[in-house]
Amino acid sequence: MKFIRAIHVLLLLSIVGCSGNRSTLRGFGEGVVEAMPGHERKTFEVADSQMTGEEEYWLGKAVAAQIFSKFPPSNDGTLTAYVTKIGQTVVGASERPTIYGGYSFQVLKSDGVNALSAPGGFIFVTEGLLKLARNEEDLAAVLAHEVGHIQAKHGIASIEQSHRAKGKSNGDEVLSALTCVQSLQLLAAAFDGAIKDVMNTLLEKGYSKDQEYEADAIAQKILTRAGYSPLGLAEMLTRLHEQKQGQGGLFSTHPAATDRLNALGLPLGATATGVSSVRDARFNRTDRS
Amino acid sequence: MKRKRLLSSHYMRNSICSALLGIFCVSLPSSLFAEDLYVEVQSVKLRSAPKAWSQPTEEVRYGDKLTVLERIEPWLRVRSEKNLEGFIHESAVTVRKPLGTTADVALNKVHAADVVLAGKGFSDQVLAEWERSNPQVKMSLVDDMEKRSKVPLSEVVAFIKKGDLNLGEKE
Repeated sequence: MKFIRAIHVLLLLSIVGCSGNRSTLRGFGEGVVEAMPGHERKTFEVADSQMTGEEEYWLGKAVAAQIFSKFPPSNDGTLTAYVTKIGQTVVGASERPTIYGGYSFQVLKSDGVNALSAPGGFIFVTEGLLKLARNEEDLAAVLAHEVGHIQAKHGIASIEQSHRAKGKSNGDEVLSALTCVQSLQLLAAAFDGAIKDVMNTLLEKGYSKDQEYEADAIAQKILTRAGYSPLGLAEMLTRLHEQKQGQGGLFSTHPAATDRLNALGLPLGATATGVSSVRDARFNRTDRS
Repeated sequence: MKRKRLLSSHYMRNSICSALLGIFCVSLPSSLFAEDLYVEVQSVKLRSAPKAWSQPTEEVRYGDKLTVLERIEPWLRVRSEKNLEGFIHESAVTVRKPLGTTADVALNKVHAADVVLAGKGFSDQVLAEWERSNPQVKMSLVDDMEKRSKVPLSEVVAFIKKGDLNLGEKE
């Protein structure tokens, strides 16, 4: 996050060059900006070191576009609509139900077993994962886990870690060459770096074990609040465990299912209880073949 | 007798003054300590009750100022600039006044460069700049995803009810 803060400071400094007028900085929290000739003097509060929900959204939108360049969307609109309704249900039971652009859901055309969430509320599940699910509780558990990552801002945290060192070494070089036009390009470059960090975390490196356990714990609370069986997550983790290991996607980026079950204090082989016949019926009506 | 009446009217005056003072004091917190917050999401509808699936009322948009009337965590009862009241989840608001919006720029209220340079950070302008350098990405697919995901509240509520899930009343 130091990198983001550095960008904000650099941009403020660049205003001096842009306007040719005096600019006063008062620490990191606020700044007085002399406007360009012909415009009123404006006082802005400078964004603090936390990324805003709006910034998270624009970043997530670009990450979502990158995900689509690797996995095309499923052609089955009915299936995506069903996943979306389960997703919106679990979102309503989360502690972060209202975000800048709202939550969006998409089924991806891929046989790999995977689920992804980009910052800003963009959530994806693959057709392969849908084939593995046996009931609506299983799907709700996966989606609640992804909402958990967004609620805890894990995607943003991955940018913070990777840019702490890089931002410092690049700062002087960037500052010396800064012009007005370059300032937007500079942000776009930072944006590009942040997208790559998030993509690397989502598809290659994975979140930390602690972040996965935290998302699981959040998912448990969400499922209970929403009225789904809290054992749905345990059931899905058991299914993942039963799948042959050594595959890519979710298997390579997540801790072992048995470790996740241990962290939740649930046994391998647990099954969802109290599943309504209506939920079972609508799940079975979906074509996941 | 006259003195008694005078005493009595004096006592009544005092009582009325005390009562008025009491009423003033009771109303003090909402008038003096009212807190202003700002909408931090693109748009959201206020709710008629502090529940996720309660009836939506007025729509408020990014940057709108809301006055907090009551806190029922995680919900806030607020009054909008149009003087309408409703509930909003705390995740949708911020204490910090948002920087100039793209709409402000369009209305020439603020200079575009000022907005970009004053620490707004990642924005639609930055995304557009990034898109220019990455013409291979298909942003239309993301737009479609977002559009399809905006399911009417009534449909989600019907889905929850039919599936015997929790609308919030059981909490």
